[in-house]
Amino acid sequence: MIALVDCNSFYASCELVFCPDLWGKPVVVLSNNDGCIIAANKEAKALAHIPMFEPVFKIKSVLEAHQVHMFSSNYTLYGEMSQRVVQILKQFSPMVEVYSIDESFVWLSTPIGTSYLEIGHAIKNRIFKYTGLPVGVGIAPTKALAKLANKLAKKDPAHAHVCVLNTQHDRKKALQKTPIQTVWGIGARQAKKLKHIGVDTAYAFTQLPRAWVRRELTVTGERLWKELHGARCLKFQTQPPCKKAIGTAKSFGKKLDDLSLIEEACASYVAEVSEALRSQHACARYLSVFLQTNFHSKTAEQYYNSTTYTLPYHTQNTLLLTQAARYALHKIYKPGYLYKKVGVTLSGIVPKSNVQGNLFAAPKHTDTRLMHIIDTLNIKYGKGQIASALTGWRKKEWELIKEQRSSRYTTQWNELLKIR
Amino acid sequence: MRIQKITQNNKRHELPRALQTGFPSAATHYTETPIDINQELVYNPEATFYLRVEGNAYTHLHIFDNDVLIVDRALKPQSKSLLVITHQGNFGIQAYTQVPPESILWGVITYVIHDVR
Repeated sequence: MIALVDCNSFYASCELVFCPDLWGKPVVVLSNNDGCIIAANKEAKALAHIPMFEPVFKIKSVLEAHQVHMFSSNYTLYGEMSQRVVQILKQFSPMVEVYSIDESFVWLSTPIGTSYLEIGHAIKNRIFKYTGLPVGVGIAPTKALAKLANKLAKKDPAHAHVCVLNTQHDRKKALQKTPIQTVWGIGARQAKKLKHIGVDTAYAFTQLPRAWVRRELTVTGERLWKELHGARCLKFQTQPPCKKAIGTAKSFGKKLDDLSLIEEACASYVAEVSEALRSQHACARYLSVFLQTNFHSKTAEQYYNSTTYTLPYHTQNTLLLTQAARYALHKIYKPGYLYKKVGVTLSGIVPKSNVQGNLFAAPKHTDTRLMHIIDTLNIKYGKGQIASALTGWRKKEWELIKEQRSSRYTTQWNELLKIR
Repeated sequence: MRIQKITQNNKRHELPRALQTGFPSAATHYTETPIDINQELVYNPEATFYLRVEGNAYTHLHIFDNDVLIVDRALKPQSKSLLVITHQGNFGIQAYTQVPPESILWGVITYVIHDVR
C-alpha cells in the first residue's frame, strides 16, 4: 500500500513549533516582499475574508482587526523542517518519494502483527512528537487513491487525520464523497467538461468507459482513471526529472531606476540559477533576461522588454553567464523607468557529459574546478559568500522585503530559539 | 507489537589500510574514526533542537545565561529529567518532578553547553 503523508498548513505550522504564545491564534505566512498570503493555519482559515494568495494590502484591516499574526516566509527553516519529516518517514520504509516540500509518498509493506491504520497513526504521532508538525496520512493501493484518502483524512474529523482505503467498499465510499474538481490530476477545464456530462464525483468518473476517458482526457487522464480503480500506473520516483529551463525573477524591495543596482540583482539571480544548473550536472546554451515595471501601478510609465543571449557553447560557468546577462541587460535597459523586477532564465539545457565545444571557442577544463571550489565554499560558509564582483555589496537596496522573518532556528547557531 | 526504530550503527572502526610510505605501523588494524560530538551527543537528529538560554532564572538547575541546551523531543521523560515545557504560551525549563499542571512537554534536555571562556 502507498501512504501519502502531508503537513497541515506547512509554513504556518513550522513557525508555530517555536511560538507557543501563538498556539490557537490565527497565523499567516507571506510571500516574497510580504505581498500575498501563502499559508494560513486553521484558526486563520476559519476567519472569513482571508483567501489564499490574497494580496496583504487588500485585507490589512481584516488582519489587524482579528490580530492575525503575520510571518515573512522563512524558506530556510521550512526546508530544514521538511528534511526532518522525510528522515522520519524513512524510519518506516526505505521507499520514500518526496513529492513536494510538505508531501511525500511512502511505500508500506504488509504489516505483521499490526494494521495499516495503526501504522498511519504511528507515522502521524511520531512526526508530531519529533518535530511538532501536524500531518495527515492517506493509505491506499495507488498514489491517486492515497491522495484522495489523505484529503478525506483531513476533511472528516472521524478519521483523526489518518484514512485507510483497504477494501472495495471503503474505496467506493471514498470516491463517492470526493467532488471531481478536487481529484489530483483533474484540472479546472477537465472538471468543467466532466461536470457538463453529469460526472461530479470521483466515483462517477471511474464509471465512465475507459476508451472515452482516453479519448477526451488523453493518456494522463486514463492513467488517473486506472489508478482510481486500484491499478498502479504512476511509478515510484527518487529523482525529479531534469529541468528544461531554470529561472528566477524576484521583485525588488523598492522600485529601481539605477542600472547598477539592477545589475547587482541580476548577477545574484544568475548565480542562483547557475547553482541549480550545476546541481543537475547540466550546461545551458541560452540565457534570457527580462525587465519590467510595476504593472499594478495606474500612474507609472510602463515598460517590459526581454532578450536572449546565445552562448558560444553550453556552459555552467557562473562568470561567463554573468557576463552574458550583463550584456543582455544593457541591451534592454532604458533609463527613466521605475523597474519592479528583473528575471533571468537559462534554457537549452543539456547534460554536462553531452557538451561539445565549437570551432572558435571551447570550455576550459579549469572552469569546472573553479565552479566546484566556489560551490563547496558557499555550501560551507553560506549562500553567496563567494560571488562575482557584479553582485556588489548593496544587497539591502534591492533585496526583497521580509519584515517579519523569524529566525533560522535550526540552521544558524547565532539565531537559536531563546528561552528565558 | 510496537513499531521500533532501526538503531544506528556505531561506525567507529575503520577498515585497515596502511598509509605510511615507509614502514607500515602495527597500529593499522586498530584504527578508529575520531570522536564526532554529533554522534555522541545527538541521539535523534530529526527530533533534536538547540535552544539558547537568556537570563539567570535556572541557575538552581546549573543552567546559566547564554548556555545552549540540546533538546530531544523523541525521548521519554524520566524521574531525573530536565524538561523544556510550554506553560500558558511561554517556554520554561522544569525538573520532571516540578512540572506545573496544564503545561505541555516540548522536549527533554540531554546536554547543556556552557562556554567557560
